[in-house]
Amino acid sequence: MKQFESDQELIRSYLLSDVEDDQRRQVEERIFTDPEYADYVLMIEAELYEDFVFDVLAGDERRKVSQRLLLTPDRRERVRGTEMLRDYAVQRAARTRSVMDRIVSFLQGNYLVAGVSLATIALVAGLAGWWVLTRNSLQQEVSLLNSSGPDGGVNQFPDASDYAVDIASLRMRSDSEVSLAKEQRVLIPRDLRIVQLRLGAVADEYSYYEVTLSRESDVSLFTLDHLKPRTTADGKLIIVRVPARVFIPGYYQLTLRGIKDDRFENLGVYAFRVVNEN
Amino acid sequence: MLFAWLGSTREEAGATYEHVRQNLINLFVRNNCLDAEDLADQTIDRVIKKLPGLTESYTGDPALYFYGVAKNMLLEWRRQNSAHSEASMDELGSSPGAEPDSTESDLRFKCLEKCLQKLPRKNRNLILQYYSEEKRAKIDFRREMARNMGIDVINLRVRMHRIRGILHKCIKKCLAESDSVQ
Repeated sequence: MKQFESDQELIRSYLLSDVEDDQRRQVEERIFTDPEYADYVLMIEAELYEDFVFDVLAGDERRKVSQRLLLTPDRRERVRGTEMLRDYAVQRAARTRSVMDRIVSFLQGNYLVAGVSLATIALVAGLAGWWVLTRNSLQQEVSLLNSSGPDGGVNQFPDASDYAVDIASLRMRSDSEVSLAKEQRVLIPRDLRIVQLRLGAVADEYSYYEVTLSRESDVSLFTLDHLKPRTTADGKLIIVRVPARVFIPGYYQLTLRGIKDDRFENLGVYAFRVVNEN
Repeated sequence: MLFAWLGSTREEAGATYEHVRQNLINLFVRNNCLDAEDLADQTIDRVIKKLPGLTESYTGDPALYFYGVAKNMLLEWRRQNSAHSEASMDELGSSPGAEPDSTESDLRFKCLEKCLQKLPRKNRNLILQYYSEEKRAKIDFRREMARNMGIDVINLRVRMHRIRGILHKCIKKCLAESDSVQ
């Protein structure tokens, strides 16, 4: 309809009965012969009602609309429809703004404490989720690392390239008062892939063993079950393969349990402290 | 015979007939005739009566012939209704019309809501946004709206015109259905 833009003022004047007879005839003939032009005139007419409803017409134009344009029920009907649509849209926009204002005031005003609490809860929930995901993924990785072997067995043929750490001192459950001075210190060199924890002093009286590695005694990292001791030159050992990146400096515990006839027995805790290279 | 004169195919003739009839109604409405539809149909009847000789002698656009007859109808109507017309204008004064009663307003409002819901969400949001700013602010707001949509203001106006047309038809139908139920 762009092509009719130059006629906009003429059409507006025609609709307000403000044109000479020949201009009137010119507009009307075009309306009858050009459907697109007729549609454009309808659009200008609707916009005139709109301008009337929104009260943006100059005084003289407004008077002409009132006196010349709104004399038939059909046209008044159009104006009512436009008024109703305007009221509906303005009210809806006001409601939306009011909701937005409330949200802003909730965040900025009296509800600051509640907002901070909500944010804290969200942060804690996020961290908990992240920890669960990380733990599950480490559990799977460690299970895979310890399940390889030509006979499908467990803990049979650890890779020779693993960095081996012998953890010999088994602290019995009753021995909780062992001083930190006696605690084994373990240095894990950088750029390692796998650390092999070799647990000594294992009795051969259980069907299989289960170990749980914890950090700082209360953060459980993973649990491995169905482990069997391996006979080495140093005697019977339980060997656990762990990704080296797990060992950040800190205090670690490997809890050992023996299973026989479906009964669990807590055998004790291997404790060690991972220290930095320097 | 009328359809054969208005177009070479039935579809073309039908479209021309609708276009002519609607323009006749609009012409009478714009000239403040209260019974515009009736006058439009009377105009068509007059043309149909003249058709047997007309199809051979008349060479121009048939739509313009309807327009010519309508202008005569209008003059006749003005002569017959001048007293009545003056009275109507006085009665109406400068007011756009008497306020509808609350039941009628409620019904209109329900129809508006119902018809807005029938619009595709995009069009509904567009028209409500278009009408949401009052007075002068709306002109700048619409310019901004068009810029945000990446279109000219004229294209935005045309889009609104289409949506408004659909809404107007829907509301008219809804009100007519409500009338027939009551």
